[in-house]
Amino acid sequence: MKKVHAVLAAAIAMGFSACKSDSDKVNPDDLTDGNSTYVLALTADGSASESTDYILQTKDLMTGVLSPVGQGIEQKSYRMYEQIGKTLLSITYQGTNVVPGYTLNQAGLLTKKNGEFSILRLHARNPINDSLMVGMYVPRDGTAEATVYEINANQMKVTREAKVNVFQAAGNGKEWAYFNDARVIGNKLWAPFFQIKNSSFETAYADTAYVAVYSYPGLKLEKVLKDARTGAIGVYAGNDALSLTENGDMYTYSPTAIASGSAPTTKPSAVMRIKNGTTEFDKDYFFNIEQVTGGYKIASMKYVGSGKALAQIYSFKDHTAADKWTTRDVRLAVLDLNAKTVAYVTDVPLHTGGMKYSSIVENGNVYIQIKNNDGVFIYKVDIAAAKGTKGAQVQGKSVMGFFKMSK
Amino acid sequence: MKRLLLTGSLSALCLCGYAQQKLPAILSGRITAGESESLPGATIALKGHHRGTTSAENGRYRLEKIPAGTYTVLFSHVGYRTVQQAIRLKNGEEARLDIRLEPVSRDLDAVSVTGRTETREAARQAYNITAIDAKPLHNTTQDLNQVLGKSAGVRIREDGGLGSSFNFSLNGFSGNQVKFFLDGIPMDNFGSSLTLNNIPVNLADRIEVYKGVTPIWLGADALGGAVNIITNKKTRNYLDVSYSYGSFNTHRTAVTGAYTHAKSGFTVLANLFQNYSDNNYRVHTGVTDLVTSVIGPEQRLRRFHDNYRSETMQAEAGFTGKKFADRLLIGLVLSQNRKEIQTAAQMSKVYGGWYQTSTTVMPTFKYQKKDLFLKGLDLNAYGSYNLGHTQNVDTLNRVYNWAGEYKDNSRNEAGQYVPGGENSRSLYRFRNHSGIATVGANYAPGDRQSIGLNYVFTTFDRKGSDVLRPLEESYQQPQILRKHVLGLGYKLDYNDRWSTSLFVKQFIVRGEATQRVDIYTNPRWVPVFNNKSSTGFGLATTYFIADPLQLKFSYEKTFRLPEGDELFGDGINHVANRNLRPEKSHNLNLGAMLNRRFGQRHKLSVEANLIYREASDFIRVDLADNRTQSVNVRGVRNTGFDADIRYSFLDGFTAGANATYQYLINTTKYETETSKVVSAIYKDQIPNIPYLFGNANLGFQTKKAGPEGSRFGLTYHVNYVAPYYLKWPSLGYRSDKNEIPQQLSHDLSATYSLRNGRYNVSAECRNLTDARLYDNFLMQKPGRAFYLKVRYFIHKL
Repeated sequence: MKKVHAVLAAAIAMGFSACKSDSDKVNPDDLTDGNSTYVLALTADGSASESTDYILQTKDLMTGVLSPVGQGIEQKSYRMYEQIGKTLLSITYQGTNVVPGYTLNQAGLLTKKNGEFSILRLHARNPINDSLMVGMYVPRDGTAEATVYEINANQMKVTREAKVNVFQAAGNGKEWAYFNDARVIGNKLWAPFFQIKNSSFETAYADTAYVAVYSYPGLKLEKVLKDARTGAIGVYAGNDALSLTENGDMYTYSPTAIASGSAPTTKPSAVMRIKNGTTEFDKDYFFNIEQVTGGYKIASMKYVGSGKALAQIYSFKDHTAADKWTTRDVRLAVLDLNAKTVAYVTDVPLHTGGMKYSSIVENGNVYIQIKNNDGVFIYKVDIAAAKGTKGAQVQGKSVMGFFKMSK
Repeated sequence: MKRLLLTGSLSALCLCGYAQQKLPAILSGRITAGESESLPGATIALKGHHRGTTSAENGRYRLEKIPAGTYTVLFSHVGYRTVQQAIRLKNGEEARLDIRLEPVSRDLDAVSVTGRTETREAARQAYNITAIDAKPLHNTTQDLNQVLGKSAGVRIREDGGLGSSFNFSLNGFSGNQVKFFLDGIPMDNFGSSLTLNNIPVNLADRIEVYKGVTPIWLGADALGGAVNIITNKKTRNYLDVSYSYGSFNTHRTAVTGAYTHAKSGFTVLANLFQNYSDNNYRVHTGVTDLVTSVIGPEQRLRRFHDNYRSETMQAEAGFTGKKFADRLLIGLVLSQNRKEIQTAAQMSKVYGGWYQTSTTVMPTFKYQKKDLFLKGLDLNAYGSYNLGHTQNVDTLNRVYNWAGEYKDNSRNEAGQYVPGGENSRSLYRFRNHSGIATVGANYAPGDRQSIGLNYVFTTFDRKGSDVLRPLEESYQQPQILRKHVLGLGYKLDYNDRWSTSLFVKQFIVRGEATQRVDIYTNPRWVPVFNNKSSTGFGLATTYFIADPLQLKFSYEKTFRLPEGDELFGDGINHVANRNLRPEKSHNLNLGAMLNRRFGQRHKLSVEANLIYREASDFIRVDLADNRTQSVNVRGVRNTGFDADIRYSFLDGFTAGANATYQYLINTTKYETETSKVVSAIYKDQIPNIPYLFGNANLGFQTKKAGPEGSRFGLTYHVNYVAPYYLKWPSLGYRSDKNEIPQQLSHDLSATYSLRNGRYNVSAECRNLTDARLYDNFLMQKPGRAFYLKVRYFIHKL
């Protein structure tokens, strides 16, 4: 064995080394103020089989470059992320089905928790409270049942697992429900969906908005809310279809945009309301985005507070098949949900849509990833002034999770 | 095959006794090389009479039924000077001619090289080539992958045990970038029953690994190089039967044989082999609790759904050594395999029901003729068509854990049946209707020059369906791919020291496919296919500074055309990309080779190669709508070297070692065509590719192990792979990197033979220290394993 080592040592001694010599040169003071920190999970450059996600933390979002070079907790594959109280879960997206969790340690640094659990990919999910979350795996291959998980992030385990029938929710015997958000409120699980008939997301039912309401934790289908004033709510795996306000009202948005993955429909892109205590769309409320903007569709919406929401609105009117799934060229706008007005945010360039996991709401400001051919940047958006400020550059393909965490 | 190397001069010979018998005459004898080594495979021909034979493993030959007369007998062997001997045979005479062949000496003053086999001769080509003599390995239980994995520059990465999917990597190039050939015939359409990991080593006579630059007669659209497996064609009558049994309930049988009727030239060749294994080796992993989904502490557990079996028959019949053809053979390959799938790409996802089957039904045609119409014009042609199919079976609606326990999801709360699958419910079944035709001609008007033309045509026409998805329109669309590779080469042997080949290759890809357009206004399928044509070229040159020291240089600009799966998808999880471009690369090799004998007992050979590869438009797998898709993204530069040293002392002791270092970096500045931001991993080292690895072996052999003709041998082999990162090295905290740790594995084998190799028994222990070995995404490989093999080999002179 020694001989072999000698031979190989000779080869190594030729002056080559595979690993870069720079070790982790990160100053903890740059990452955290000791109690709280911003956490960015980003997909680094590289193609699928060779690249992966890195979880970075920083206390400064407005200057410099947030880079995975030499820093960040390496993930085993592409992931989706959810913050439940003080825990960040890194959830399967591809390849492996193992979920690790992270919390801040005494020094305020992100540390892996003990224990891992194994679940399917989650297409619809949201925290229930500071320790529990609900998540749904939705089949695309014609399998009849979606899997619903209740996960305890403190204990790092699945506390409940059940099935719901996706054909039953769709209710037409031909297509099935593809849930894109899941929200437990009280003793109900609200799950908006669009319909599909095959794995290419084709459907003949693009011109109605649907929300399934299940009992929780019993998961009996109680009702399917339908409204034909606009098309399907939300986007694939968006998890931002339902916005809950301070008074318990819920707002939904319907892109009806090919660029958001929707099948074409003549229905306008719109925001609707479900009043607290009811299980139906408010017949008296309809915020027709296309009418207000002069023909542009909404790509996503995030509730900020006091009746205001940040939205991404397409900058072009004619969506073609080539735009499918691209969510290209959106503008930021502040929506006043009560006054039904749209105020475009200034000083932010056109970018690729999607906000739920790439933005943080803090003190009336929204920190958001702005991604286009010029790269990925963090912008701070002052909601009251509808004005953006360019912040730190992010080195990578995309921000997949953006959270503020505290000890 | 009569591959005469007519270099002229007469050398030592000895003419022995006569015997009296009745008519006609018989000529027999023994061919030796050097001191007293038997020389197998030498050609003995009666000049101008179309009669001949080859010498057997012990160097002996015998030609019967020779009419009385005067003959000139030619004794030849590649790498040796041909000897001409005139002899007058009387009726009934049994003459004996023992001949000693001298190796070709490029420089009469230099120390002569001895004992050169065809394997050695292959290595003397101008190409960067590793030639492996497979004959000494015929008593081992290895398959071709395991043999190849021990040579410099080659790394075989397997997901698991017998029959598991593997990735052959040559100087950092892998997958479809490396092409495989059986006797010069592309193996592209052979199907999954006939791949390097299930062909037993006994089928091969030798293996040639061309690195980077491939000669035109292989007709390859290879980016990283090519592997050519050469079967035994010299022994015209033989039978080789072997069976091995070992750990994990592994059974392997191989029967290969040839029969040639001396007078008519009627020939039958047959290879039958069988592989079976439970592959139930132990792995270290945690068990997921079926209720809480919590992954338990690491345990040692057996794999439970990894059974693999394959059976293959390859038979050919026709004529050899006739006036109209040196070889004219019609054949049929029949094979089937069944493979259970234990895990996804990473071990955390475990399956218990999913499996795949495939069959091969492939008629073949081979024709070879030297000196067709005029002297020096050689022609060969080959054709085959695979009618076999592949089926994916994933219909078990369960979730398994590593303990083999499962949650059954096939019934809902109301007790109704719920269809589903483990990965993606599927019964997709397809035929690729893949065919290959090749024609090659070579014309050598004199000794010094030759010109060659080679054409390879491959066709692929996938037809598939899934009974579970009868309405899936995409399965009904045309998926046709036709590739043409045309090569023209010129070789000049300027003198005995210097030889150069120049070549150009034309790569053409044509196809038929459709794309769904106007999906919202007027949905329909319209034809779409990007026909492509590219021209490659190169040269290979070699110079003998002194006879034992050879220098080589080769360069090629080459292309690799997309495969059917990459263009059309796999029907399950891999999405079509009909706009895929060919990959391209500039390959450069510089090598030196030294073969020397010190005194009469010590032999030393040293070989070192520097390689440089500049590749672009790499075809890599990326994500598309949660499925995978092949895309052109990466540019890669590889600067590396490999070295190989071998020593032998008489016939009794051998030692060897090789090491490979390859530094592959990413030369893609922008990750997407529209991006304006320099990639964070520009010039970073390519991850998940071993960059430093090596092998060493020691062998001991003795003939004093019992009765006359018996032989005992002991071999030790060690493999080392330096640790490497799974993901880009520059990214993330050092302490959190996903790393494949250093690996060191030891193999030991012992062989005992009786009656000059007629009866053989061998025992092997692999991974002697039970080290933890990994590949790919930390896929664990078998621990310590034992195998026993018995082999019976007879051949007729």
